[in-house]
Order: sequence, then C-alpha cells, then structure tokens
Amino acid sequence: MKFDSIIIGGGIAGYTAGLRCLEAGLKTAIISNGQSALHFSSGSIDLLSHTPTGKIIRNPEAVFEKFAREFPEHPYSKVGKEIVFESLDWYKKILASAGIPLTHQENGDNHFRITPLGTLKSTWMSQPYIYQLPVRLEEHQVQRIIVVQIDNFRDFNSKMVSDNLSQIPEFKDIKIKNVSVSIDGFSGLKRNPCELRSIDIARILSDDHEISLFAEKLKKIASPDDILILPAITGNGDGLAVLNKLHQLTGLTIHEVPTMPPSLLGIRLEEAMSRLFINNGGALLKGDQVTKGDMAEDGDTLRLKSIYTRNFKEMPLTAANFILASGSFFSKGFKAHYNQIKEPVFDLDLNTIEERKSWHQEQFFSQKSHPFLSIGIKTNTAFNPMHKGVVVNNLFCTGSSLAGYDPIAQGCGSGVAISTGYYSVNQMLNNSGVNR
Amino acid sequence: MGHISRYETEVLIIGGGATGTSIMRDCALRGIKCMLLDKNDIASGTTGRNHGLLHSGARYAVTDSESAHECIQENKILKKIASHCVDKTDGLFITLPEDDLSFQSTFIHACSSVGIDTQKLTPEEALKLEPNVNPSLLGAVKVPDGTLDPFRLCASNVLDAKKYGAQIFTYSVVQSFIRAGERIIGASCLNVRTNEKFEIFAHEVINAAGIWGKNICQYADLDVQMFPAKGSLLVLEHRINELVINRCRKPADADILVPGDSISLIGTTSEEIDYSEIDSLRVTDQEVNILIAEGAKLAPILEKTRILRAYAGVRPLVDVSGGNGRNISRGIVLLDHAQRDGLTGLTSILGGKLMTCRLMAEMTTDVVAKKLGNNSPCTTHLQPLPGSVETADKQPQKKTALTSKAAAYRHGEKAVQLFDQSAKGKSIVCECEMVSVGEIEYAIKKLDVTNLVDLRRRTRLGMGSCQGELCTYRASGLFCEYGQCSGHDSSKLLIHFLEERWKGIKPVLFDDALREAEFTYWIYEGLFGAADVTLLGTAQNDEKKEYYEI
Ligand SMILES: Cc1cc2nc3c(=O)[nH]c(=O)nc-3n(C[C@H](O)[C@H](O)[C@H](O)COP(=O)(O)OP(=O)(O)OC[C@H]3O[C@@H](n4cnc5c(N)ncnc54)[C@H](O)[C@@H]3O)c2cc1C
Ligand SMILES: Cc1cc2nc3c(=O)[nH]c(=O)nc-3n(C[C@H](O)[C@H](O)[C@H](O)COP(=O)(O)OP(=O)(O)OC[C@H]3O[C@@H](n4cnc5c(N)ncnc54)[C@H](O)[C@@H]3O)c2cc1C
Repeated sequence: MKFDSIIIGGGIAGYTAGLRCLEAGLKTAIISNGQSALHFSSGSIDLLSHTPTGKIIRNPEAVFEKFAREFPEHPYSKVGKEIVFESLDWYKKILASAGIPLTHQENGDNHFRITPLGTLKSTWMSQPYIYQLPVRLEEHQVQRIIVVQIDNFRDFNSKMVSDNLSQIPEFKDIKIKNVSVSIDGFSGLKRNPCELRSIDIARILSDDHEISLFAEKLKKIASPDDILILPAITGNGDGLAVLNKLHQLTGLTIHEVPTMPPSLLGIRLEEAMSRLFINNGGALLKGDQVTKGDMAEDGDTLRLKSIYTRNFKEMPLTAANFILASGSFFSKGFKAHYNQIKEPVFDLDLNTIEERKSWHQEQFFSQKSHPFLSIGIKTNTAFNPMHKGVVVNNLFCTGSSLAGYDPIAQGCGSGVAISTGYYSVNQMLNNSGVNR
Repeated sequence: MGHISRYETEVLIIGGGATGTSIMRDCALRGIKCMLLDKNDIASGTTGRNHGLLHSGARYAVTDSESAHECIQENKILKKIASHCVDKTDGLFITLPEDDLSFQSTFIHACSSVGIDTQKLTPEEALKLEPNVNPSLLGAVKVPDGTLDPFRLCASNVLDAKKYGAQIFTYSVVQSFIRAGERIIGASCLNVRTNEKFEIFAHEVINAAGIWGKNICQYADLDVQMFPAKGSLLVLEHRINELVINRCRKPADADILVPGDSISLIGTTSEEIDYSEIDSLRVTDQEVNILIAEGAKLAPILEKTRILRAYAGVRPLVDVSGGNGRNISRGIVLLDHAQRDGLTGLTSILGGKLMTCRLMAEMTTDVVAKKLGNNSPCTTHLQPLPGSVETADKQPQKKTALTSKAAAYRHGEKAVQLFDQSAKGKSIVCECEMVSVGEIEYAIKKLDVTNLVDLRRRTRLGMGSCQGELCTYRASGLFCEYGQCSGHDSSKLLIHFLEERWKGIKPVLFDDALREAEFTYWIYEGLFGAADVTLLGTAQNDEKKEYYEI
C-alpha cells in the first residue's frame, strides 16, 4: 500500500500531524495501536507552566523568546514562537469545527483548573466547562463552590476536593460545600449501581429524561453565581452535547473534573479528532502496530522506504514521508529493558541515561521530576531522528517521543504534541525530498 | 497538657509480628490479661517481609534436624488451626543437571528420620504436577511444604485474643522501661500518630520485637548481640507455580519459588548487614539480577514474567555465645532475663521462623505463666483460629469470582456475615483481589486499620497485578466514611500509599513496571496534582513563589 505520508501513533501529536497532512492534500494514513494518553488526560491543552529549572510561568507568550534562548534543547525552542502559537490557533479552529470549542485567557495567561484532589494545575486552553481560575489567584472572583458527590460513585470523591480546596490560602474566605446528588437511572439496573464507571454513567445521562431529572436536582443546590464542581460523567461518543443541555437546563456555572480513568474529557478530544480525520478522507488503521521499517542509504543520510505492521505482516506500507508519534513508555513508544531504554520500531538514537538507578527520584512525588520522563529521541532542528548517528531524512518525530522536555513538570505535554505535530508537517512539505 | 495516660495489665508484649501476636493469643486463651504494642502496624516487621513458606522442614533436614523437626510439627498444627492462612500446595525439591543427583537419597533419608513424608518423582511426573518447572530437571522429591499468609495469621491471632479481652495498641513505640530496682515494671510509650505519651505497667514484659529486640534489651541495659541478615525477594505478576519449588541441594541464594494467592515470590538473597541499616533496607540491582537468573533455573517462564515489586527483610539471628566469640543461632532463642541477667520482669523471644511462631509463643507463655502462678495449659495447638473454624478441612479456594468467597477465605465466613450486605456493601473496590466496600468497612472498624497500607495487609487490596493503581483512590474515599478522616487526610493516605509502593517498584523500574509507573505518575501528579496536597497548610506552601518573567 502506498501513501504520501504515514503517521505512526494516534495520540494528539499523531492526529494533529494527520489532519494537517490532509489539509495539504496528502494521501495520509494513521496507524495506531491501543489507547493514547488522551484517555487519561485532563482534556485541557497545557502550553508551558514551569521552566526546566522549576520557575513558574504565568504568561508563556510573554516569556517565550527568553525561554527559547535559555533552553535551546526544548522542542518549543526548535519550533519557534510564531509556529507554536499558529499551531495552537489552528488546533482551536479545528476542534471548534468538530464541536469542541476551546478557549484561553485573552491576555495569554495560563489559567488554573481545579483537580480531582482539590489542588490547582496550570494549563493554557480548556474546554467550555472548565472554570478558568486566574494564575494570579488573588484576582479570582469565586464566591461559593459547590462540590457534587454522585451517590454511590466511587471514582470521584467530593470531600477530597472540598477539604483540600479550602486549605488554599486564597480560598480562605469563600464557602465550599459538599452536596450529594443521586441519579435516578442507577436504580433498576441489572448490575450493581455502586460499581459504575464514568463511562457507564455517561450512557445513562445521554437519555433526555435522565438529564432533565438530574438538572432539576442541581438547580436546587446551586445558583448561577456558584461554581458547581461535577465529575466528568457525560459525553461518551456525543462530545459536549449532554453537558450543553445540562447547562441550558440549569444555567449553572459548571466545572468538570476528570474522574478515575477513563477520563471523558480526554476521550472527547480524541473522538473529535478521529472523526474529523476519517471525514476528511484519512485512512485510520486502528488496532494495528508498526513492527519495523526498511531504511536505505540516501547520500550521507538514511531514508525510510517502507514500514511493516502486525496485521499486514510481510506486505510493506510505503510513503514519501513518515511521522513518528508513538508516545512514550506508556504507549510503548519506548521500551525499558533491564539495563537500557530503546525505541522499539526503528532503534532510533535516544538521549538515554546509563544507570537504571538514575532513571528516577527517591520519592515518587518529589519536587524534582523523574529523569525517565525526559528520555526521548534525539533529533536535529527539523525533528529528523538518527539511527546509529545517521539522520533519517524523511522521518519526523513528534509529541512525547521527543527528548528534551518533561511534559508533567513543565506542564507542556499537549502543547508540545500539537506544535511539533504541526511543525513536522511544515518541515515535510518543505523537505526537498518530497516527491509525490 | 502534661497528662499521661496509664494502663495496667499482667503481660505487656512488645512487637506485633507473628511471634508477638501468637503470644497475645496464647496469653488470652490461658486467661492472662495482656496488652500488645507495635511501633507500626501488625505484621509490618519481618513478618510481613519474608517468603511466606510453610516449611515442611525438608529444607533443613540435612543440615539442621532440630529445626526440621520443629517445622514438620508446626506444619501439621498450622494446617489444622490456621487453615484459612495456609495453602497446602506441597513442594518439590528438584535436581538440575548442575546439581549432584546423589544428594537426593541423603535428602530423602534425612527427611524420613524426622518424620517428613517424601515421594520421589520422575521428571515426567514432576512436570505433570508442575508444568512450569524447569524441564531439564533430573528428578524431584515431593514434600508437604505449603504457604502461610502472615498478614492473615497475625490478624486472626489479634481478633481471637481480643475476644478474650486482650488489648492492642498499634503505631505505639516503646521508648524506655520503667524500673523498680532490679525489676522491670512497665514501659514508657509514644503513640506516633497522635504524638501522645503513655505508660503501661505490667507484671511481666515480653520482648518479641524480632530484629529490634536488641534495642529493647538495651533499654534494660542488657547486651544481646544480633546479626541481621538481609534477604531480598521479587513479587511476580501472576502465580506461575502451583507447588513450592526448591533446589535439592544445600540451601543457597534465590532457590525457592513460592506461590501465594494470585502471585509468586522468588527469593531470597542473603547478605549480612550492619545493625544500623535494618530500618533502611534496599534491594540492589545486583540482587534483582541474581533473583531473576537463579529463579529462571527453577521455572524458566520467570524470565518472561512481569515483576511487580521487590522487597527485603532481615533474618533476626542471635548470637548465643554469651559474649565469648560468635555462635549464631538460626533457631528459637528464649531468654529468661531473670535467670540470664538477674533482671526480673523481662523475657525475650527472638530468632525462629514465621511458621514456628505458635511454638515460640507456647514456650514463652509457659515461662511467663509460671511466674504469674497461672497453671492453665497451652491450647493454641488445639483451638482453631477464627476464620479457620468453618473452613477447616476444606481446601482453601484460590481467587474466585465471588467477593464473598474471597473474603471468607481471608476472614472466615462468620466475619463475612457481619459485612454490610447492601448493594453498596457488596460492591467491589479492588477487582484484582475482589475486595468489597463491606470488607473495607469491616477492616477499618474491626481490624485496627488506620491507613491504606494497613488495609493492604488485611485485605490484599492493591496487592494484585494493578498494585492499587485505581482501587486505592476508591478505598481512600471510604476512610472519610468509615474512619472519620477528613478529605484532606484521606488524600494524604493515598499519597502515603503511593510513596510506600514506590519503594518496592524502584528496584525493578524497567519493562512494565516503568510503564505502570509513568501511568501512575500521569494520573496522580499530571491529572490529580497530588504532590501539592502534602504542601497544603504547611509553611512551604506559603513560601514566596519564584516566577519566570521577562
Ligand atoms: C496516562 C497519561 C496521561 C496524560 N495526561 C496529560 C494531560 O492531562 N495533559 C497533557 O498536556 N499531557 C498529558 N499527557 C502527556 C502526553 O505525553 C502528551 O500530552 C500527549 O498526549 C502526547 O501525545 P502523543 O501523541 O505524543 O502520544 P500518545 O498519546 O502516547 O499516543 C501514542 C499512540 O501511538 C501508538 N503507538 C505506539 N507505538 C506504536 C506502533 N509501533 N505502531 C502503531 N501505533 C503505536 C500508541 O498506542 C498510542 O495510541 C499524558 C500522558 C500519559 C501517558
Ligand atoms: C527474607 C526472609 C525470608 C524468610 N522466609 C521465611 C519463610 O519462608 N518461612 C518462615 O517460617 N520464616 C521465614 N523467615 C523468618 C521470619 O520472617 C521471621 O523469623 C519472623 O517473621 C519473625 O517474626 P517476629 O514476630 O519475631 O518479628 P517481627 O515480625 O520483626 O516483629 C517485631 C515487631 O516489633 C516491632 N517493634 C520493634 N521495636 C519496637 C518498639 N520499640 N516498640 C514497639 N514495637 C516495636 C516491630 O515494628 C515489628 O512489627 C524469613 C525471613 C526473612 C528475612
């Protein structure tokens, strides 16, 4: 089978690259094995919350040039300010067209989202039912917070949210309340209603009658000036439709927090991108895994001629260009052996760390990040990787497969995925080697 | 302030391991009033960090017939009185090409001379019984080895003793003794959770503090030399063997593979360490290497099996030379300090094994009861433990689909009848180990569970393949409901659990363990922002934040 471009991995980086390729009129395939990190993500787009040295960033746009100068190895520094923000703008438009409007602060500041443990995490662009608290927290306008406990739902605990929130100094004087609400549809189920996961509740609440009963209950406990914290229990396959309805029926200010996995907030993003990709004519090979590739010498560089997958066995898939968006350890983009870490498909060069005991910190939740999180593929400025020191000129690396940053500590996972996915396609199109 | 609570009892037991809790039960059954203290949770010392092997005695038959004899005797007793803690798996002693096959007859002869049944098997017979055993074996001998769940054993001891009026204080450390001349009359203690001091006065004090027993003796100005020998083990993701697998040769490193509920354990290495290191045990990369390499010789599949975690314990070996030279005992060491040192009111019971705990308790309680003028005979070898009563003679079930069955196996059917039977009570929190809300409520209210790590020891929640990834979040919420915890405290319990778990994961942080760790970190730090919870309300939280500006 022959394509213009083939993308390995269907996470946020892979879809970004895939959608951009389709826009450029390329015949494109995404091959993706298993769930991407989005299934466990906040569904917000983190741009940049901390420097590698741990300083807090409130406005990524304002400090971008200084950051790029000081941390040249960071993927953002290679992409450059213009393209980073162009890509985010583009992503925002794409997602809006798929029914998920994302917004950010007008002045370009990060905002805080309230987490399922009642702590605050800095992010940049969020879905409509994420209440954006200012990073300059003293400026918040919150009067009262109501945290909703869904009766018998164990994957979200409202007391943890409220008790931790109330310890934040800026919230000292505001009222934070816990309220239990039952969902009528829980009774009369064949299975034990106390074992439902968020995705099961989403199925119940997609019923019009159920959602209006639920709305009636919420109206009794909160007023529009309150922030109503709800676990993410709607939108499995129907995006924001149910939440929009709930908002219409109640007029309340809803703040959704992800529950124990799966996170419906993240799934919404993946489903939206995947639908767009298919509608726009992309070939999505889901549940297949790229196993190896054929490389050929091309001057003093290498060229990836074709790849093989588990399902297609010995039948090669060829393309002019390839994008690697296979994620990190969790997504099997890397594999850790007893004494070394490898990229399993092409054996690309990594910025690896020799001794296993240096892969991690002593404490799990330490103020310093775990070194294994920054392990990734070494690339040139065009994000071409190397195999045994030789550049592969038509393969581009994106997202969490890249070296040089820590997505959690620096709060930049999805931002790097989007901007590098976008940038790689630019590079690919510029690539003199493009011969379609 | 300044008020110190005082308690009085007949016997004060220091240490809530297998030994201490067995003594607690023995005293209680003889009608002796007693209190037990542990600086941590029950079974959190060496008792919770070993192989859990119910020796048949075969391992010691050739080298130490006295130990072998004790083992086979206690093996038979525990199968009767603690059937819910025992899995009668049987064990194989295999001979590999690199071993001397002639050792087999020496071994079989030594076993039969202490009364251990043996059955010689051909390689084909052994493979049929245990398909995962190394197929290149030259021969095997089957013996009545089994497995013993130390957590369940301690919890049952405590449950039974409490029925007869005994009291327990966990998270309470003995800091010094109260003396009246040449007599110990009590101990000064500190509750490490509340930071409150208290005193317990007792006619007799028993030191059952295992490897920490040396410290306890020091509080009484007595000198007892102990030599800690560290042993490390690996937990495998699933049960790869049905029978215990040993090597038929003199005991060596990493040569026992023990199945246990849903997992298997390979161990142990053995290394003498300095006494100052006993509270900071570390499994080294090299030990992990040895365990995998040697373990794969017992069952080659081990090399391809995911490793869940690593842990280490210290064997509490005692020097019984009395100060001249070094004579380390691997057996039971009972020290009557009145006789040995002229200090009355204190008895130490050290050394021994997990599976000889009942015997050690009987020996100790005999000595102490006599001093108290109590003539009641020991009955711990006759009376089944709670939980064992109803299931006695039944083959214990392996992991079953039904929570009530799993729980009955853990706590006995009587206890399960006390569980909340509503839909909520029956709902499952930990799918790997089939732990229900009702079981957790019971554990929090009845089994002295104060945190998620205690809960893990009582119920196996989070011990299976997921290692508590998601179920501990659900369980921590239940501490708000049943344990009168605030939401802030219960989130700290969650973090405490994940930090404890990390200790066992670090040594094996590769392959799937690293994948899982990345996932856990994303969920709890990336998504949930857990690291900030510990800062809330502390001075560090108010520290001036450093901003990155132009
Ligand atoms: C559990 C988890 C939660 C996260 N939560 C957040 C969050 O809340 N916010 C945030 O900003 N970032 C989050 N991230 C960080 C994440 O790294 C980036 O934000 C972003 O999601 C990475 O996207 P990606 O496309 O690079 O990789 P992934 O989302 O990991 O996608 C890689 C995909 O490639 C597939 N794949 C791998 N190898 C092959 C192969 N050989 N053949 C075919 N397919 C293959 C995988 O199955 C997977 O579907 C999270 C990461 C993880 C692991
Ligand atoms: C690696 C290894 C493998 C083993 N395998 C087996 C096996 O397969 N089968 C077997 O039968 N045996 C085995 N053993 C031996 C067995 O584990 C121990 O002999 C047994 O657990 C000792 O129990 P204990 O109750 O005496 O001590 P511990 O369990 O150590 O109990 C002592 C308790 O005292 C408490 N304590 C200490 N100081 C104080 C204080 N100041 N105040 C209050 N409390 C205090 C501690 O917290 C601790 O809980 C093994 C040992 C090791 C190290």
